[in-house]
Amino acid sequence: MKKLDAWVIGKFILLALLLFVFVFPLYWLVMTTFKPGVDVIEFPPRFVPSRLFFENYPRAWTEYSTSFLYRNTAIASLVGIALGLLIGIPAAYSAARFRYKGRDDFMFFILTTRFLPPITAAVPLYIVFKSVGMLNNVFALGILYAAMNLPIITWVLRAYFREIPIELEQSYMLDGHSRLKAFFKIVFPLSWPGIAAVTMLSVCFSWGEFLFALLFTFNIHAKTLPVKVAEMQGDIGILWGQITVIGTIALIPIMVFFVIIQRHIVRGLSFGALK
Amino acid sequence: MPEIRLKNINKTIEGKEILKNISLRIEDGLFTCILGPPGAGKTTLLKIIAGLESLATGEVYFGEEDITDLSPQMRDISMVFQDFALYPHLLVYENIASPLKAKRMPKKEIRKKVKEVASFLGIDRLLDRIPKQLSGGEMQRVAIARAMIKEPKVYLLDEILVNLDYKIREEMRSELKGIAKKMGRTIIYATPDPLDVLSMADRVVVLHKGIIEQKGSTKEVYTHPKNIVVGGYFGFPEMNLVDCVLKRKNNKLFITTDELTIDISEFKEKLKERKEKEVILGVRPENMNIATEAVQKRGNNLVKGEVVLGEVIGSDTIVHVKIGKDKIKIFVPRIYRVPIGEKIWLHFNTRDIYLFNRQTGECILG
Repeated sequence: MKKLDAWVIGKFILLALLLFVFVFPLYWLVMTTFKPGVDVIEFPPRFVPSRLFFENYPRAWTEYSTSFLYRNTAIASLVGIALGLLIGIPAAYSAARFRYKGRDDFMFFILTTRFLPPITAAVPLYIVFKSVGMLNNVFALGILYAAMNLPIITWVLRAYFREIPIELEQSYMLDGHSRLKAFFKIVFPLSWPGIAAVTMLSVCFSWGEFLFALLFTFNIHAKTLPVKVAEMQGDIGILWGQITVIGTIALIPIMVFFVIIQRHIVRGLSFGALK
Repeated sequence: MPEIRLKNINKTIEGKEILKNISLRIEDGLFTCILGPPGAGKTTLLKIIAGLESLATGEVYFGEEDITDLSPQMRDISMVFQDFALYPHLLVYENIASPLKAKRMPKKEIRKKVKEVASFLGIDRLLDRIPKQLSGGEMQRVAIARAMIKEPKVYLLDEILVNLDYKIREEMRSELKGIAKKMGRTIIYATPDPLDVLSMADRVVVLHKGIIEQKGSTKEVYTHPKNIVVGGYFGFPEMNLVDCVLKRKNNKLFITTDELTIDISEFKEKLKERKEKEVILGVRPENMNIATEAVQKRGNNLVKGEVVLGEVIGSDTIVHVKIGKDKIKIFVPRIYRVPIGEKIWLHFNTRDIYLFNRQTGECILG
């Protein structure tokens, strides 16, 4: 009994520590949005604001055209994810299902695009984007994100598609349906957890991407939230109140998205073993 | 209904030759088994007939129609896979209804037909479940129902009894044969199990390493195997094979090992052209008996062995006997308890023996 108690207590302590590590930064972020300027820089730090200060919200929203930044970030991310999935799903499917010469080399080539640190690709890409007039364009940024998302989408989904017995599709085709229908009615629903997982990963990357957004966008028409936040550390000091407001509202759609998609992952897995 | 003809089919997958120059005619309305060990190419052959595998060389005909390049959905074929391939996210009802939905049949008619087929196979109470909630036997019935509802000309069944437990497999064998008879359609059934063939098939095609070793009626192939591959594989329990030497002495013909000598002079004429000396003697376990005293007294074709195992299978027994360095099996159609280590006399009739050339494997007698 004593042994069990020690185990339970140990588990609680571990969970509490983990919770602290993950939740405390969020708490600090949100709490800072409600702190007046002096509270933020006070030492020792205040865990609870001396008074609730709401002014940071309207200031951050209006003074920095946050709605535009929001829109830009959302467009770039959505284009990046949608385009990535649109190209990545068929690519992964073809690599999983069809036998053709150079298939594995092609897959390796896709992976090699992630071997190099992004900064090495930045200059050549800048030249290309400039020559086709796509700098400072939020959709162009989305295309770039799609390219960056593609390797992970293709590799993860190929593994996922391979797990689905080919006989399911073949059986569906022998029922009289086309291959395309077999994909949408059989493969797609069964690989939904995998698609949800790569979507999550792509969202994480696209929404918070900084390097290319910084290099390829110049003004409010294309700038994204992470770039703006970086700019807010200027000559007049660091505007912690407004920065944390932008951080907080940038977090909301991601969290909502994750909660929704996480449910789908669990639902998808509950179909049980495929084989 | 048309017959199916395969002409010079070769199939290589990822550099490995799976099927080698297969030419085959499958008669319509019959139950044909493709028998072969795992890796023989049975599933690939079925998939080629179904249109699920492309062909670099060879042709597939339905009657006179060349269907080599016809897509699977255009072929009038249903296939039941080894793992049944039930759509795990769809209800049993939706699984069975799938072929009718493809035909764009009205919903009311679909419902009626699904209920008909489901009640025929005794699975009408399962229609609202998902495949995960079914037992192996139930899954198989659902898969068969989905194949039946399409009312195709040809059914392809790929090792569908392999994953079932012994009792259900026994039941399903007789049930399948009954269903096949009722439908009167062409059935091609791939199996590694000779018992499936012996209990269900009208015709058998023995496939081994991508080559058709023999084809014909079940009885013909069983009683007259063309070579040691067919003889050794097609039978349950499998044929006993013992290395022997063919000797001619005093105008008589014998087969001998260290332990036994059998006079086979009655086949002298038949074997007079044969030059080989090294042969393999084949005797089916059911063609050997434990000699009674009366038989022992007659003293013909007897050999002494030591019991190493008595394997009771249902109401039969397979007795494993050691004769010198060779181990053989004897089928006894009753429960036969014999102590391990006991010496027994075995008797067999020379009419029931097979001889194979040891080098080529060709059957020279039997």
